[in-house]
Amino acid sequence: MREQLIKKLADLAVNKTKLMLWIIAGVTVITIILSGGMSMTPKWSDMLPEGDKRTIEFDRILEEFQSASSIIVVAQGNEADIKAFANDLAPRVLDSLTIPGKDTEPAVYVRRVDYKADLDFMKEHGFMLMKEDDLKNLKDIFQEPGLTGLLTNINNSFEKEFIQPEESMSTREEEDGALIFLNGINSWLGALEQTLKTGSISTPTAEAAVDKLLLGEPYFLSYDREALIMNLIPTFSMMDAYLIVDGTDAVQGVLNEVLKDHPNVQAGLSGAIAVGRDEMYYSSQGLEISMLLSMFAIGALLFMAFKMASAPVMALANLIIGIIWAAGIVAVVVPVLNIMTAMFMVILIGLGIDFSIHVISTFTEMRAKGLPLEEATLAGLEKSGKGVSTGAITTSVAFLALMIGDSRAMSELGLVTAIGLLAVMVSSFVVLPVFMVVRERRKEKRRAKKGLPLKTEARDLAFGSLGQAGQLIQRNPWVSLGAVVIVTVLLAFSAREITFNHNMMDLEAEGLPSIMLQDTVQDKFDLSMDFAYLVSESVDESRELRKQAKELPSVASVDDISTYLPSAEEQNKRAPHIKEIHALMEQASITPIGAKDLELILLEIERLEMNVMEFQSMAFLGGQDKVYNRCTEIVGSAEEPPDNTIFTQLYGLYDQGPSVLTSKLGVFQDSYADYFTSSVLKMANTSPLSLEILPESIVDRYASKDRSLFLTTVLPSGNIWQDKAFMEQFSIELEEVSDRSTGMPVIMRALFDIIGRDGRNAAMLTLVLIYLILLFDFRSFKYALIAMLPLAAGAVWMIGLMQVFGFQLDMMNVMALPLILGIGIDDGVHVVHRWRLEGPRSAFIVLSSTGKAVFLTSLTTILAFGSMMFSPFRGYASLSWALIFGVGACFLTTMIILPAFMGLIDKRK
Amino acid sequence: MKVKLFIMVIASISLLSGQTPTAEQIVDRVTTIMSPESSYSKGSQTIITSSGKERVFQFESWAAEKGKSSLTRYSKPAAIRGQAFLMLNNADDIWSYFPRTKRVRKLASHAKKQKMQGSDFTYEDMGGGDVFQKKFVSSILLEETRNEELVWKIEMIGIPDQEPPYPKIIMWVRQSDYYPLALDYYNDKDFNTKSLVMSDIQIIEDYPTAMTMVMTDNKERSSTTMRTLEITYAWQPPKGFFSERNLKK
Repeated sequence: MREQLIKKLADLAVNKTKLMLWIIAGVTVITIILSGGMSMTPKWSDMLPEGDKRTIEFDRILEEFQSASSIIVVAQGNEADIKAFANDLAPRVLDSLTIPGKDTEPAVYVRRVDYKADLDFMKEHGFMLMKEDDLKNLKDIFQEPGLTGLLTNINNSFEKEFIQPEESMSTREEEDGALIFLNGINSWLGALEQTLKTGSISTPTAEAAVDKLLLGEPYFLSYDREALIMNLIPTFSMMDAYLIVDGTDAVQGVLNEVLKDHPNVQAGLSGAIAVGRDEMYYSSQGLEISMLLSMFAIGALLFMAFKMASAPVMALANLIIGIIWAAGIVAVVVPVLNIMTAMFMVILIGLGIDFSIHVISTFTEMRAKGLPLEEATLAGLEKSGKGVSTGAITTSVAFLALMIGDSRAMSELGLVTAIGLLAVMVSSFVVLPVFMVVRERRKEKRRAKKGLPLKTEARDLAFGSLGQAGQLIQRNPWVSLGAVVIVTVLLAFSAREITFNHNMMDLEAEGLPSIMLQDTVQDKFDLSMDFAYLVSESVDESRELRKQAKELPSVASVDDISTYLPSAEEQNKRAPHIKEIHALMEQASITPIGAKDLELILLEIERLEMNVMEFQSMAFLGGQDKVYNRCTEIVGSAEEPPDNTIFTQLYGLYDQGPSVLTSKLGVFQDSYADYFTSSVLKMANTSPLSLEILPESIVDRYASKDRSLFLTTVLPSGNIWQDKAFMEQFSIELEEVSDRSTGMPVIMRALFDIIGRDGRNAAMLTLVLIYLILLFDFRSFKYALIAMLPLAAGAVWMIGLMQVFGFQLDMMNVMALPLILGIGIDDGVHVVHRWRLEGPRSAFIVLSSTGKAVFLTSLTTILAFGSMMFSPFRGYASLSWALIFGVGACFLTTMIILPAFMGLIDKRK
Repeated sequence: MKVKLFIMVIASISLLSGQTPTAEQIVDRVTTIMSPESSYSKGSQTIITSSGKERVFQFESWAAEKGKSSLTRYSKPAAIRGQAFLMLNNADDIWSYFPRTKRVRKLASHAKKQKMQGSDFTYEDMGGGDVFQKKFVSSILLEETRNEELVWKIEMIGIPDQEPPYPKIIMWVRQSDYYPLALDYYNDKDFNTKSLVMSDIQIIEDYPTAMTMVMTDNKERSSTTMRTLEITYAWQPPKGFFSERNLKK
């Protein structure tokens, strides 16, 4: 049947050339249209099994929660500059935006910008949001708004502060709390210093100082106050693949415009959407570059090998048409490609070109022998067709074996590549002969015009050196096999030592702005973006999940809506303290500062300095660097006497004389005291907090669009990428808290397990299937086994060599293991086929002719996969290296092991 | 010498009788070994700060009344040179002296449950005394080999009425001299929150002494290493040594 089909195709190519060209063009146009429906997703979760609960939950979070799909603006510069930049940028991103370089209608891509805390809400309910212990500790501060009383009470509270267990600063949250307190004091002292210096202070400055003292910093500033984060809530989500690129580009355009007005600020985009955009953009771009590079390199190689310009043109044209057909079919079967399946075109270039090489090689060989066009076409297809179809089917089956896996990463890659290979194989039998016929006819016409003879001269295109090497091995089989066994054993030992790199960051693109800014956020804000999510159906459930998650050893901190919605019990416990604060403040009176107050105020300022110094010492001993550094800014360090702190500046202003000083202190008190009183009274609000009264900006952060679900974000206490055991611990502990936990750590841990298991299963199945196909093809147990031996040794060499050259296995290159089984087998198949055809003592002919084709196909495969090294994604480069080692190793083992077996078996004959 | 003799006698009796001592007996002996009457030492403490840097402190420490009273004074680095802590009544009362402000501040009694000087040890962990005997019920889980030493694995469950520092502790005690090689501390969710490992155990003036102790906080994912650089158990506290006045010296 195979022979009949080949004969029919050869006949059509020669006798119905035009019809065939029209059919080819029609199919190509249809598949181009179909392939337009293909898209790509940058989500790692899309590599997990389709029904995986972690994927379903993750997708639901992306769909339902606005906060899960945000664009983060990271601005860097000095504090005043980055705040001004944020104030400028915020309203402008909310407008209708155009995409730079694209002629599209302006659209609204950003729904809301969160870059400042909602102070109005905090001013209304600030005390109700404070823990009961904090209220007990701090309520002294709110007894007297007058300068003397306030300073005294701050000091009293300060001295009480660090002895309370809740304020031990043993966790990041507590350290953050201490920083808010210190920042407030620093800001308030700054306002005092300004007043003592100038004798006046503006109302907004005084009120801002009070707000900072009572409520903290409204902007999302880094610990060193040199970076600021803005959270842009887009009108689309991570699920909208096209909008990820357009929306991010539109926002980037505005950001670039605003930056022109702020030359001292550096800013860029990060967060899930910006990273997703960069991954999609750069991976597509990387793959496009890889494809072009590989095509160019393969073209040049074919030109050199066949010594004719049309060979690479025909081979590549056939390949392109085959890939277009493949893309059209793939777009129907798997319309959304993931990070792994997106590589299928590069794989097709590497493997699909082999078919063209074999077909062109035999066709030109037949023509060189002087066969007429029809006979040459038929003979060419007949001679190469068997090997090509067996090779293509074997490789496709090997890829289809990947479908045994649960993960979409592996099963979809297997399906897509198998479909693609079969499509390219079909095009090699349908399109390539037509091209060759057209070329020959044109050539004949030209020669006829010039009056030259039609018959071309025979040219020896074989690789004699390969043949000689094969002959040598055939004559000394035991020496060669002994050497292979020794090398294989050594490399097997080396392979056992190879380790697995779980750090996904090592696979990401290097130098991508969004990824680099993730590191900036980690460094400056101590904020990891590798958090996990828990979803609950009520605030109470969310609160309970928070409580349980906080207890877990692997958890650093938890953020959920209960931060803003304490339980009724908690609110009831806080209410008496808030009422007390309210009562005290209502009774408080502000008495003008007199001469008798001056000494006490100055003593209290010195006491405050001492308190900060002691706080600093405890922070140093406690290893609380952020608190220590902030204290050092306020009071200097113990090693060097402070000469330019806020306190030394205040002390420097004391020589103005008692009456002037008293007067200026009075001005300062007048500027803030009333506002302080009214703010405290407003904050001392015991009306219950409920979901309904929370501002939208807060609710959106934690609640789904319909407010029926609530999101809890859990930050791990360690680095999930550098410690696999920790990643497992974190994921397992969270799964114990909620069976719906998801997020990068949970997904990646599942992916490692599933892909590892899938890879093992697929490899076993592939080996069995390959053997069965070869058995069917060769009708011989012996030859099927011999054809597989180079592959087995090549796989060992591949891993061993990777270890020798310092490579580790990782999430991407581990895919090379099952892939190489499908790719590497072809070498053995072709050589054994030719050997059986040529008969005993044929190593020279087999290796110089088929060996040449195998050499060329190995080289083209290496060039195709090698081109992925230029992708900015280090994961693709890692896979590329593994396949280069694999393909190279399989070629070498084929060229050594098979001639040796030829020698052994031929001797018996 | 007395202690060594005591241990040898007890060990010999156990050996001759062929009986494994009870968990209570083992814990009693651990308490005896771990609570010398008095001591003076110089040591170092290595912590990892919140920004991931390693910080090493050097200190001198004096203890008396089997650890009931202690005074620790830091000598390095310069940022805390002279800062001292006085702990009395098994860390129920803690005072701290700050040389930069020349003030002494008393920490509240519940501060003993806090981390001590940024380490993964709490003040209570360092408080010594008879906590294991009075606040826990002990049982032997099994006998096993740890670091090539035959050990008893003891489970100590806190007695709720006694306000134990931890709900549960697992301790590995070396059978040859009743010295604890490691302790795992658990919280009320039965998570192993902290682990203490003793190593480089030397006999100093008849007392087995771990020259290195590493406490790992499994939640904070941090660890603290305490190294004893110099130690003597022959030191006798002068009258009034453990006082606020001496703290300032």
